[in-house]
Amino acid sequence: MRITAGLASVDQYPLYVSAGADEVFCGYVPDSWTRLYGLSLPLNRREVRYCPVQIGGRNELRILAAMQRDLGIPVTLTFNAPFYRPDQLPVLTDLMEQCLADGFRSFIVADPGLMFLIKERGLLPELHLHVSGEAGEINSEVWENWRELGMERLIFPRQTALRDMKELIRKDRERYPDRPVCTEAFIMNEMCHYTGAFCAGLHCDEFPHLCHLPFRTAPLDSGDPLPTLPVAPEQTGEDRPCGLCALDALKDVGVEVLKVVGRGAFTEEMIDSIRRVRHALTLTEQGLPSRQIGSAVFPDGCSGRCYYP
Amino acid sequence: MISFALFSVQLLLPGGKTFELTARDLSVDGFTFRLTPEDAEEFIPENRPAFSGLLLTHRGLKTEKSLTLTDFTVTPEESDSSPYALTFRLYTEDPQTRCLLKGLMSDLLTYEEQKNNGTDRELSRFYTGYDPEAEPFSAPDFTVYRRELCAGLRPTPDWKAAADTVPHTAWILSSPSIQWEYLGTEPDMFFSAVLQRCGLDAHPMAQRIPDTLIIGNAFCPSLFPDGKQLFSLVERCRKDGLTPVISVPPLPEHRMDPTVKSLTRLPAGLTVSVNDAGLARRLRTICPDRFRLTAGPLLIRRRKDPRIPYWTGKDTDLRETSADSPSFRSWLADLGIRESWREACGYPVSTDGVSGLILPFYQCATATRCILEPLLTVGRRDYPSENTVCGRECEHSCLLYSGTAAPVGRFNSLFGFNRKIMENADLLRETLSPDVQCLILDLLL
Repeated sequence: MRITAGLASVDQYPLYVSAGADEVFCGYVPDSWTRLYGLSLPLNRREVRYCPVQIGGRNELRILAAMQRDLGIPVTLTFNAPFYRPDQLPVLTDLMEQCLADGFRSFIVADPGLMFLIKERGLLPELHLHVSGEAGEINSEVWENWRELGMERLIFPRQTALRDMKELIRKDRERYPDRPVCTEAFIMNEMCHYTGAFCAGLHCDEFPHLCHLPFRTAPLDSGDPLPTLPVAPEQTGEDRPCGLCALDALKDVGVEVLKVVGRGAFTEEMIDSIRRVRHALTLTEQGLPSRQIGSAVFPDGCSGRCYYP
Repeated sequence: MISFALFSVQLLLPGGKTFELTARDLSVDGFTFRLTPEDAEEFIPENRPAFSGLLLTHRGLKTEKSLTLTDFTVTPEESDSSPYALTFRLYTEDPQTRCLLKGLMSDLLTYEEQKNNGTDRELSRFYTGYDPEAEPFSAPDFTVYRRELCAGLRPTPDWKAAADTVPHTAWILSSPSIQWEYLGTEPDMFFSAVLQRCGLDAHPMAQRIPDTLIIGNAFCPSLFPDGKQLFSLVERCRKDGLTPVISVPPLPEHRMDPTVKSLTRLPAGLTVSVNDAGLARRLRTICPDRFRLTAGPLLIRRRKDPRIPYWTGKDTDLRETSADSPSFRSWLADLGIRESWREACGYPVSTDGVSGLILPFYQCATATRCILEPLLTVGRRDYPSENTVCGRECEHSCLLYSGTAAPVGRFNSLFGFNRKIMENADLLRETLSPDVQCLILDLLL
C-alpha cells in the first residue's frame, strides 16, 4: 500500500517524500481564476483566502514540476470542487492542458460535468483521472459510469463502509482483471461529520464551518422525550482521527493508496502523520495484529476517533 | 509564503503575456519570490528583468486593490536558493506600492490576531457581521421551531399571483411517520392539519392544494420506505387522485439491489427522483423507459449556505451550477434523466429546463451515515460506524443550531430555510422560468 499526502506548499514536497510519502496531491489556483470567480466559486475544496493552502502561482507550480522530475514522486493536482458554473468548465480543461504541458498527469475531479468534458475534449488517456471522494455516493453502477468517463483511480468517500469497498473492488476486478481501477481510502486527519460530496456550505476563513456552529439536540415534537447526550469519550493524547487499526482490513479489501489529509496543516504535523502511517504499514507487514496498531503507533493514546470503527 | 488568493503578482511580459509569481516574504518595500533556473533565465536574464512591470493585487474580504509597478529593482538572494529554484528580492521605492504592501501586511496581521487570540464568534463578527451565536435557539422542539419560522412569513400581496404561474403543487413526505399519518387520514384533513401544525395555514402556499406527493427521503437511505409501505403509499395517492413521485436517496452499494427490487415492483410510468447516477444507470439497464427519471437535489449540487448574504461573494455568480452546463445535461441524458428539480436556496437560481422548484427548506450538508444515532449513544456526530443500526432517532430528535439564519439538523442533513422566496414575489418571479411546472413544498415532514 502506498501513502499519498496533501501539500500546501512546494517546500513540503521533499519533506513529505523523506517522511515516507509515495505520492502527493496539491491545489493550483491561477490568478486568472481568482480574478474572475473569487472564492465563492472555488477551483478545489480549499476555499480560504488567508492561509496558503494552494501551492501558489505558476512559478511555484513549475518548481514543483522540476522537483517531481527529479525525485520521481508523482504529484496529483486537485480540481475537485463538487460543482462549477457552466462557463468555468472549459476554463478548467484549458488549465488542465496547461498543467499537462508543465508535466502533471494526474488530476482529482469531482464534478461529473467536468469529467464529461474532459472525455469530450480528448484529454484522456494522457490525463489520468482520479475521481474524488467529493464526487458523490459510490456504488457499482456509479463506478461503471465513472469508468466510462475515464476513471483510473477512485478515492472512496470518507464514510464508505468497508463491506462496500470490498464488494466494489471485487466486482471491478472480476469484470476488468487486466485493468482494475486503483483505489484510495482516507487514513488520517480531518474527519468530517458530513459527506464532502454533499456538503454545500461555505468553508471560508471568516466563518466557522456549518457543522461547527453551536447546536443542541431537541425533541421533534412536544410529545417526544428530551434526548439526553451521554458524556463524550474523553480525549486522550492525540486528537487525530485515523484508520490505522483497519489497515489489515483495507489491505484485504484491496485498497492500494492511503490518503493522509491535511493541505494547510502544519508541516510538522503532516510529517508526523506520514511517519506514523509508514510505521503502521511496516508493523502490519511484520504481522502485528490490527487491534494493536493504534497503541503501537500512538503510545500516548490515540484520539479514539476512528475512520473505520 | 503569502497566500496567492490574498496577494498575487504577475510579471508583465512583452506581447501582453503575463507570468504568475507567489510572494514569499513580505516587507513594506518589497518581497521575495522564486523561479526555476529556466524561468529565471527567461524572465531575469543576467539578473536584469525582461519584464516591464508587475501587476500586484491584494484581495481582502471586502476590498481589492491592484496596481502596476514599474519602479523596482530585482536582485538575487543566493542564500535562499536551491537546485530547483532561484530566489530574488524585489525592492521598490514607489510609495503606492509600499502603501499596498503595508496594507497587505496589516490585513494579514489582523487576521492572524483575530484567528489566534479571538473566538470563532469574534472572527466572524469582525469580518462579516455574522454572529454564529446570535438568537440562541429558544424553540423547545422542531415542530415549534418550524411553526415559528413559517408563521412569521410575511408574503407580499402579489406572491400568490407569482406562484399561480406554476400549474402544479407537490408536497414531500420524507419520514415514515408522516407517511403513516397520510395513510391513516383523509387527504383534506391531512393537508389542513399539516399546514396548521407547520404554521403555514395563512400563507398563500396553503391555498395551493397539492396534486402530487413525493414519497421518500432524498437524503437518508435508511428512511426509504420498505416495499409494502411504498406500494401502499402509491396506491393511496392514486386513490386520492394524486400523482405519486418516488424520491430515492444516494444509495451505497449494499442498498442498491434491495431498493431497485422495491422500485421495480411499482407500477410503470411513475416519476422517480434520483440522487445518484448509479440508480439511474441501473434502471436504464434493467427497465429502460419504465420510469420517468428526474434529478433530485443531491445530484444537482451548488453552493448552499444560509450565511451567504453575510459573506462577500457575488450572489449572482451562483445563479448557475454545473448542472446547467451542456456537458452535465448530456451526462444526465445518457443516464436517462430528462428532468431536474432545483432548490430555492437563498439567492436567485436558474430554472431554465427545470421542472420543479423546492421551497422553503433546502439541503446544505448530508452525511451518508446517521449523525443522530452516534451522537445520542457515544456522544459524537463523527462516528462513521458501518455497524450503526438505524433506530429511527430522527423520528424523535433533531439538532437545532444557533446563529442568525441558522440551519436545522433534520434526518442526516443540515437544512437552511429560505424566507425570502416565501415572502418576495419579485424573487419568486425572477426564479421561476416558464419550464417550472411544479412548486415542491418541503417542510421536512
